Amino acid sequence: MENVLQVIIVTLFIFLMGSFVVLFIIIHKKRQASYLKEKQFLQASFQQELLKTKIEIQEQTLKNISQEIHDNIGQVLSLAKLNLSTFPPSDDERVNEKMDHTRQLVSKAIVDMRDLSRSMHGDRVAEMGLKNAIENELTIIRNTGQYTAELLVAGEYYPLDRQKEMVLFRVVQEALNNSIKHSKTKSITVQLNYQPALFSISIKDEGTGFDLKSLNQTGKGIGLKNMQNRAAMINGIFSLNSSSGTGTSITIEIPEPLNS
Amino acid sequence: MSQIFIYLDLLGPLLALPFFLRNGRSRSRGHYILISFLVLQLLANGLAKVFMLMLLPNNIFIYQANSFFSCVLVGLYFLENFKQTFSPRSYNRTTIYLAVSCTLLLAIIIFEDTSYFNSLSYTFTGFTLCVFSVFYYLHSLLHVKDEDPVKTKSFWAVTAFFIYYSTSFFIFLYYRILTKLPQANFGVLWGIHNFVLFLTCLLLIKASKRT
Repeated sequence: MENVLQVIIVTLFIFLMGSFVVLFIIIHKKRQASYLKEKQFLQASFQQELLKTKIEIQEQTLKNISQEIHDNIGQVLSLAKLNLSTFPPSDDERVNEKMDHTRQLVSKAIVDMRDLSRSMHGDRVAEMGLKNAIENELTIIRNTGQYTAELLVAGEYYPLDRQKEMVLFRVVQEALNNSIKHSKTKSITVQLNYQPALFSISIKDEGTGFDLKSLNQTGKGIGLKNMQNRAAMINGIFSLNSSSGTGTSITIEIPEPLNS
Repeated sequence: MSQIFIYLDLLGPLLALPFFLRNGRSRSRGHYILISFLVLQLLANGLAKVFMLMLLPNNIFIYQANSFFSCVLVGLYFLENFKQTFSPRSYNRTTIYLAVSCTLLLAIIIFEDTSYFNSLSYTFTGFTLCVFSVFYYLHSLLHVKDEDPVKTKSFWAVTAFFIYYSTSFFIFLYYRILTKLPQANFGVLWGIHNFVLFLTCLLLIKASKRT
């Protein structure tokens, strides 16, 4: 009887020690889960901060280039145009024709330069607002005479946070650039949807489209990755729809857009 | 049936050793220490059995030696693990603690009456190594890493030692009380001890595998 009691007591003790180890594993798993969550959060905030800094640097660079274009090249071209205008008319009709043509070319260069300077300058977006800045971009595209570009606005307009507008504008620029360069489209539509709880922007073209799978496999699509990163930076949900022959549509949704 | 329990302390190390020798390509110092521990158990328990079967009068010194060298080896195993995780200051303190404990243990063994089995050295070894195990667990909880401890070799080795030495501590503490009683039966306690050692060796097999 005493032997059985001894065995029972020691067995219970072993179970107690085993339970201690199991308890350790459970507590450790819990702590590890919260540790990994915190680590993930820190990594995400670090990435976001890094991206933010990158974009700020990029914006500053674009701003500097924009100022240089406006202040230097723009001035030189304006002076050249002035010189051409003050040039006395020649007796030779061909020379006058050439002068007129050159004047027109210089004028166009000045207009293009101004447009480029405006679209590069981030402060312009803040001054004009996202809607007008996009409209401006679409006007430039329309002015080429090769595309129809339309801006549709739904809902009641409200201004977004300055940084969000800037980031969205850069995404639109990138998307428009991609459509013009790759899609062989003739028609581009940008839609802004202002809802109180959700803001969305979509850029659609009716071009050739592309196969998403092959893009992922080839490792191309840095522009798309950039758009995705930019959207993530302002807590936007980025989605891309495209397949060969059906055109491409890019949408960014920002929940709670009025909360900075 | 009871005969099996007598030989479990030999069977355990015999079973575990081939796993350690087979998975020896990535041998670390810890791996060698575990091999040494198993070899020590095999030699000491084997020799004690030979003494017992040959009816030689005193095999107590073998148990005492086993107790001391086990404490040193397992203590070194813990230090080997703590070296990578503890701060130098904590590591030095733990080393001093081990050195003091081993010296005390040696003193207990030397000054104990070796004519009969005195469980004090086993109890002391059990206590010391339990403290080390608690250090390990506590440190793991306070300094959580990406790695799941269940997937590490050290966790299984420490768990094996913790189960064995905590039970040993409990058994031999009780053994000491039993020695004061007339007609006490120690056979059952030794049987349980051997069974726990067997379990420990099975857990050590898990620690022998490469992670």
